[in-house]
Amino acid sequence: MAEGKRLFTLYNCAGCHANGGGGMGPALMDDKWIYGSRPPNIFESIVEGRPNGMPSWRNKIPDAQVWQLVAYVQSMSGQAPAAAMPSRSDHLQSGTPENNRPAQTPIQTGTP
Amino acid sequence: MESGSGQSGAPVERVEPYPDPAAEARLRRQLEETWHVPAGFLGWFAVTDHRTIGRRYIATAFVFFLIGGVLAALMRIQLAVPDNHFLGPDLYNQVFTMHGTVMMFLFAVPVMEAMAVYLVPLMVGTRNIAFPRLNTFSYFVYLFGGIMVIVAMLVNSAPDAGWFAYVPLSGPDYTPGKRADFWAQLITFTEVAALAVAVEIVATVFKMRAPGMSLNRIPLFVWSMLVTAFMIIFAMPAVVLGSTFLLLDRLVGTHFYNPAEGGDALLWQHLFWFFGHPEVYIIFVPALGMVSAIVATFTQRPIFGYRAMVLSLVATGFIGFGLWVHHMFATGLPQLGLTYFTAASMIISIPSGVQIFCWIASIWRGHPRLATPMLFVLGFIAIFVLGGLSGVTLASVPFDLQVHDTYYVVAHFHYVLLGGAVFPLIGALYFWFPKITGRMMSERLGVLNFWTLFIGFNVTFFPMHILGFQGMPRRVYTYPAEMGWGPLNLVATAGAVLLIAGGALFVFNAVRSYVAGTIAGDDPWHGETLEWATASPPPVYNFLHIPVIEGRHAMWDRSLAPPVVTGLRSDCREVLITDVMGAEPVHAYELPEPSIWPFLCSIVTSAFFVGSIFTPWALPVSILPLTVTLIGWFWPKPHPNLRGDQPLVRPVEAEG
Amino acid sequence: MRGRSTRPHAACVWLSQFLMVLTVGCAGNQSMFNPQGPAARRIADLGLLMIAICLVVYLVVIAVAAWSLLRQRQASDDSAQTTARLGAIVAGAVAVTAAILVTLTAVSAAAGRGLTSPTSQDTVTVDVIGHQWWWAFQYRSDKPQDFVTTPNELHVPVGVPVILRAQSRDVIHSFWVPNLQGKRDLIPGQITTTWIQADRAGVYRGQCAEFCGHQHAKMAFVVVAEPMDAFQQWLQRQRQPAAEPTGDQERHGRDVFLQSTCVACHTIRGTDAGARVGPELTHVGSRQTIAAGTLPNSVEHLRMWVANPPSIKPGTRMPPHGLSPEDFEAVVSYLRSLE
Repeated sequence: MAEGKRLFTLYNCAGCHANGGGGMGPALMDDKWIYGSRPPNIFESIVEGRPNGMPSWRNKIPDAQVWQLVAYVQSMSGQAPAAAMPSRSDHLQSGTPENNRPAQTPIQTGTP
Repeated sequence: MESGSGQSGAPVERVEPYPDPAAEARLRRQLEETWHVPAGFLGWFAVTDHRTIGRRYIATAFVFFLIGGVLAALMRIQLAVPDNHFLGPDLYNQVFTMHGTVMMFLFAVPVMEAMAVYLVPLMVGTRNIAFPRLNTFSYFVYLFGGIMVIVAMLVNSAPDAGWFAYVPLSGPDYTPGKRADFWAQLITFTEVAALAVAVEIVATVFKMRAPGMSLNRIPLFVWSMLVTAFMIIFAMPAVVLGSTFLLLDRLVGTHFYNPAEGGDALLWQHLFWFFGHPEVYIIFVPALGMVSAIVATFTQRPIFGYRAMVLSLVATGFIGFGLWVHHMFATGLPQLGLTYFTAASMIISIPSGVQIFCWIASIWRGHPRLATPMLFVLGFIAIFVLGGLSGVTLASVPFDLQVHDTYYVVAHFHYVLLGGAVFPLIGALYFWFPKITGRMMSERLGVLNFWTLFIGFNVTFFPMHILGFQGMPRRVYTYPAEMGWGPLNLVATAGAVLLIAGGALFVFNAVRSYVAGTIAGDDPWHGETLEWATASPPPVYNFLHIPVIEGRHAMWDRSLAPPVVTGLRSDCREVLITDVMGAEPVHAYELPEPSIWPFLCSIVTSAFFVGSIFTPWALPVSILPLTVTLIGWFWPKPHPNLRGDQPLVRPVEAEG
Repeated sequence: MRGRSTRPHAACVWLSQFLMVLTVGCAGNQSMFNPQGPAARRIADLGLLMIAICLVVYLVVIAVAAWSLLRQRQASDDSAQTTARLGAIVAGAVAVTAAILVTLTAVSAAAGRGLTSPTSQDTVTVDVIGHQWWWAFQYRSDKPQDFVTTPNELHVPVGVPVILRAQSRDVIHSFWVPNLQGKRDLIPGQITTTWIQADRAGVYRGQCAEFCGHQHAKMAFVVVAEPMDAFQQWLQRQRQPAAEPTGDQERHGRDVFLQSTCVACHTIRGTDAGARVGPELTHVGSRQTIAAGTLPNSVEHLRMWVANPPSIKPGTRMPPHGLSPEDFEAVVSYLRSLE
């Protein structure tokens, strides 16, 4: 998860998703999941891309690193064990540390 | 007979001992019963006797020493040849972090405190250490902290950011998981244990000395432990604060060490090294006391320059707090500050130099006998002086900027820590083994032990000076073959084999002698200090009669029929409280009985410390059990012998 | 019985220690006693002086201690007069110690003062940016498009002081090239400065000197010192964008590069690859080493590295490639062509 957090910044996911609050892309730290909140869904979202602007990262990010990103994305909405989640990062504070966020029950808002 | 007055005005009778043997036997039986050590399974956890706790502390510290030694062996195997694949980087990082952490926090400081716990009450002439229940608590907190971090190591969660855990590497972003949390909480465990013992030592030395042991008659070992205790009290809070900030950053999301939010990565270094530098003197100063005890006994002369020696100990303690930035010379601090710390780091050699010169003078005018403890002292001189000189070179900022974080520094601190603290410690164990166990250690094996350790040590660590000059940095899990560091590393590993053999030989000698060594008798070495006045091992009550001290060298200045204190009750755990300066009797004080509550309190405390790594609920959940155990601990015992309004603490009364 | 049989023991103790002290090695790349610049030379001279003084002090102390141990005892040893004389000798020894320490402090402060500022005003400034586990050296210029960033290889002109402004992108690192200067830490949130100067052309190795995680051991770099005009030529060449591939395999390699995981992390100026996660590869073919000084830059080593970085630097963020063998060979040949 910590590695996923680092990759999230390095691959500029924050460019569209900010640090979970969204912007051009949907927020990742709330309970709304358009395409499903389970790890395979998130993996597909990253690798295949999604309509309305989510690019496909196939062959751009190796699979092993995609899974790390998946784990981190889950933790952004508190969907991971608290003891494993990352704490505050060494940057400007952009939101509550992941391990302090309340766990959100995922709500499906679209068709996967 | 002479009498004097305590501060309270009550007369104290000092009689010559050896009244009728029947009375002596009665007194002995009564003291044995009053001061008995609880037996049985539950009794083991309730013991508050300082000798038992001291022995346990020493034994536990040695187990950690052996663990630290195995970790070092693993490191040396990995570094023996270039590009080795014995340990990968993750495992190596855990191993070297644990080696440093275990050695510094779980072996070096506790073992020195343990020697004090055992010896100080005997040397000052009292029946137990001050705050005996706190002593028990301290041991168990130490034990549980050590167990926590060893278990963490066994589940691949050992701390891996170095024993000094610099941020941001040890912070929440760069050390995920619980590794650094275990490290930071280990600090908390060992600080609590160390502070507890430090407080006991100060109280014992200041207030429980036998009458006649004025300040200028206190043995040098006791002085060294007093200075150490004060250093612990002033240094430990800094690292507790620093590690608490780290834990808060990692678990709660504070920004103490986050530069982006106004924190500072250097804050950690200042807080850590403000503790870290006195820490090495905390380890080293007790060894100075041990050397004084051994040199005096094995030259059969008082140590030359008592006053200079005491002042040197105190000066080392003070100046040791003004050096910490010399660990941070490479961080780009202003030049004026650096020069100050250079000067302070140079000046601290002066008290150490005074001590070395006084010991040499003592050897000069004494009649040296080269038994094993004395051999270790000679080895200490040879090794420590070299280490001290390499330390002087490190005080120079330009030179340090080249050798900082290289194997030159590794060589330096092993010379001063192994040579300056462990060699005296091993010598001290050979010296006091007869007192603790009643048997002598094998002298033949002792000489072999010394040479194995001495040669092994130098073969291991001297080449590291050169490796540092050749540019080999620290904390590297491997190095390229073309750098040419291979041969010297191989030599160092070979020396490590000898060191391990020496360690094993020491354990073998100790175990064999414990079982089948020659019976020692009270005073096999014709020692200088008071512990040699009682049996080996001492009875549970330490001394049949509290002695009255007649000179600086309690045993050598003793008259033929030395005076003792009377008037202390033998049917309850009474000790004599004397005043700080002249050790005049003030009053009698009853120490608490053995109790299971300190152990229970240590369980709750440990559960709280470990639990808080995983959940903030640990705090509210622990408060109630903690309160309960503290209430049990401090529950006042109705005095069984209270007659009406008689107070618990009363002046000593003259007996008819 | 009094110690006569064990006197040889004592003498051996001292002798062995003394012989040990005599062996001091020097020489070699990355050795502080092989100074190639004014700063390192000052430090090496200071070091030799201090070591010499310490050696003499050590020998004297050991000799006196040995003599004290072995001397013939006399009845007058316990007299008050002897005690007084001993006291005077000890006091004298302490005074000598203090004098030596004051001298060493003064000598060290003097050497230090000469080290804080560069030898002249004509300097070149380079930013040193530390990452886990590689170095970025950035040469600024009046025009931002002329900025040059070279990973893991620092070129400096001979005889010219180079000011280094050091910062870290993650944890604390330490920039250290022993042949030229003492080390300076790279601390996140601050900029620390130091300077180096090479007096002779050559290649000097440096290494990270502050524990920074898994691959701290393999975070090295080289400093290439060359005459000023050669340096300027090098700088000019570095400013050029990546060379156009000439052969089919290289062209195919560039296409593969731009369509696979490589482009997510590496910049090649002149192409669409602009990510700044990993080191810049615009001129990777002309470097002396790859993987932060870990491997010499040859075809074989490049293949080894790109094929499976975690096998060489376990813990590195660069993943093994997922390419077919032909695509892999094409990428390797393309990278080799980027001189």
